[in-house]
This record gives sequence, C-alpha cells and structure tokens, in this order.
Amino acid sequence: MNCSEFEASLDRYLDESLPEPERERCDAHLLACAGCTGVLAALSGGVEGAPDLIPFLKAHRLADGLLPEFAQLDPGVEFAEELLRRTRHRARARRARHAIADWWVRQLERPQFAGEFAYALTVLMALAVFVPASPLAGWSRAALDGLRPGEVEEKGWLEANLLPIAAAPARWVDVGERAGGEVAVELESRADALGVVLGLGSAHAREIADALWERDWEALRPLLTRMRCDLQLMWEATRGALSSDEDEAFRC
Amino acid sequence: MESPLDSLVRRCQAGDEAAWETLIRSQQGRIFALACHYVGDRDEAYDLAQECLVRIYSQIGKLDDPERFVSWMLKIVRNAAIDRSRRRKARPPAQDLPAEEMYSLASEAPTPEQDAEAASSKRLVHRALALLGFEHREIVLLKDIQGLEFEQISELLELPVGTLKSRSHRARAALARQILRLSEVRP
Repeated sequence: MNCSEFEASLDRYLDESLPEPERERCDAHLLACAGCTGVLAALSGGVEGAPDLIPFLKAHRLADGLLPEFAQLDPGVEFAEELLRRTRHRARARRARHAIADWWVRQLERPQFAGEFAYALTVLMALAVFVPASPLAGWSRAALDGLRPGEVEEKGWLEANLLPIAAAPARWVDVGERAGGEVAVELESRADALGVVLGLGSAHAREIADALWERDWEALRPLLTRMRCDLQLMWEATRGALSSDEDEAFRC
Repeated sequence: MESPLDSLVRRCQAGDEAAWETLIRSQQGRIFALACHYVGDRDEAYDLAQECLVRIYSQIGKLDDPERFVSWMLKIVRNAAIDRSRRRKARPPAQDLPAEEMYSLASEAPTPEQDAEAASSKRLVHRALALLGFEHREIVLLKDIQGLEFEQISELLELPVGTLKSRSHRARAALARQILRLSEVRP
C-alpha cells in the first residue's frame, strides 16, 4: 500500500469500518511510513471513537524490544551431552572412513604402487588357488577342467555307451557257449557282426578295446577318430545292401 | 572475511569434533526455541531438536557454502517440525504452551517491581504471538525473533522477498493489535 491508497482508506480506518485484510494493510503501511502516522495521529486526536494510534505504536515497540529475547531457549545441560553421545559413534565411523580414504589417496600417489599391487594380487591369487587347504583349491581344478571343454562330458559318454558295447561280444559268446546249440550260433554270429561294426577285426580294434578297458582316455581319442572313419566307410559301403530298417538300426 | 560461525562450520565439515561440540553449544538454544515455537510442546521439541542436530551432523559435509549454514539449519528444523506435525495431526503449534513453561521470565531488572513488569510484558508478547495465524507467527519467528534477512527467509520458505515483506508488515501490525487487545482484557 502506498500513501495515496492509505489516504483513500483513511476515513474508514478512523471509523474502524475497514474489512480485516484492508485494515492490516493500513497498519503495515503506518508502521513503515512516518508521514501517514503523523497525519493519522493528528486526525485521530480530533475524531471521536477513532482508534488510538499511540497505544498501537507502543505495543509495536514493546514487541520490537522483546521478540529477540525469544530467539534462544535453554534445553537443559544434558541436551548437548546426549547429542554428543549420539554423534560420537558416527564420528568414529567417519574417522575410519577418512583414514581409509586418505591411505588410498597416499598409495595411489606413489609411482611404484601399481607394481606392488599387481605383485600382491598375484601372490594372493596363487595362494588361494594352489594351497590345498584353500577353499578355492577345488574351484581351481574345476576351472582348469573348464578350460578343456568336452573332455569331461566325453569321458562320461564313453563310459556310459562304449564300454557296454565293447563288452557285449564277449558276453554274448560266453552266454552262447554256456547255452550251446542254435543259441550259441546265433549269439556268436551277433558278436561277430558287432565286432565288425566296432572295427574289432581291424588292426587298431584291439588297441581300442585295451584303451577302453584300461580307461586310457588319452590313447583312446585318436583311436576313436580312426574308428569313426572306419565306421563311416563301412556304412557307406554297405548302405546300398541294407533295408531301410536295417539302415536305421545301423545308424542308431 | 570469514565469520567465526563460518569457520566453525568449515571445521565441522573437516571432521573436527571439538568444533562440532562448540557448534552444538552455540546453536542448541536457537534450534530448541525454534522447535518449541513450531511444535508447541517442550518434550517433543527436545526430541525434535536432537533429531535435527543429528541430521545436521550427518549432512553438514554436503553444505556447499558455510555462509548459508543458518538458513540451511533452520530449514532442516522447519521441515522436520512440519513433518512431525503432519504425522500427529498436530494441534496448532505454540498455542498450548504457556510462556512460563518456555522461558525463564526473570530479567535483569534492578528492582522486583521492574522485574515483575518485565516478566509480565514478556508473557503478554508471548501470548499475543501464540494468537497469530501460522503464516504471521512464522514470519515474526524468522524475521523478528531469529533475525534472518528477507533473502534468507525467501530461500527458506521459497517465497518472493516482496511477498515476505508485506507479510511481515501485516504480521507485526496483527501482533501489535493482539498485544493491545490482551492488555485491555488483562486484569
């Protein structure tokens, strides 16, 4: 509100007929404007029933003097002690964090730190992986096995599938000898057929059988490669003479 | 030139525990008074002031400019008080607490009569303050009691300085009227 707006409201202010917000604005203007305050003081002296400005300004001055005293309030002597107890453990944690951070900064600023760090890391890794009592020792073996994919699975597959096949001719012959007669002839014939399929009659068949029985996987790998070639060749040579069922059985 | 408070804040930011204790002892009265005005209950204000100072301790490192410490600190107290009031669907703050409970009404007046008059005036102003609406009481609290500049209050309340100035004038006029009214009805 400026002085002319105040003047426009002056009569109603003196009559105390202003609405509350308007009157508050006039009060605020009076507190800031010595000229309008003087005019009002002069006028209000001669108007019956007008608000008394002097007590109003006195009340204002009273508040002015006393309000700053409410700025502080003593919470009691134990307040600071209790607060310090609450923050002390946080302070310890913070100091520890700062100490660790400072140590790292100092280390990182040293030129030889990278070499030392790599050396320490290598030693730790070696200890963790190669010391038998280390919990990572088993992991290291598994990791090394993992570097040779397929071998573990191949061993398992061979044990599960090839060993019974290799053993079958011997079992059939054995059963046939004990049974005698036509059964013996039939089983020997099957044993011979399987021997042919497995390449047992060839030069390396015995080596395959020996390697299987002795579980010499290193020796078995090249032998099996050669056997696969033999089987492929044999299948190619005989497929024309086989019926479709026999062909399927052969492949299985 | 850096003020002693700014220097204290910087030392606190660097983790100086002695500086933190000094800061607590210098600001606890102010924070507790502000908390009392906002929540209107001495015990609750005590807890609130503790909670705020712990928060200040944890976050003081994030304060960019130590010169802004006072308004930053008061903002923490104000927000925490308002949150707390909302949680408990508060009664209007500072209206139920008599001045006698909040302040030592003794003064350094030379005679018992003057001392009694000073205490009576203080009680009168406190009661008049408690009768103001929240917005008026808050601006009186921040401007006239805590002595903040309008720019600091503007930052704290997120209101334009012009709005705050006119609100402050209206609040002071309303306070003077309440004082007059109470002194008329006072025996």
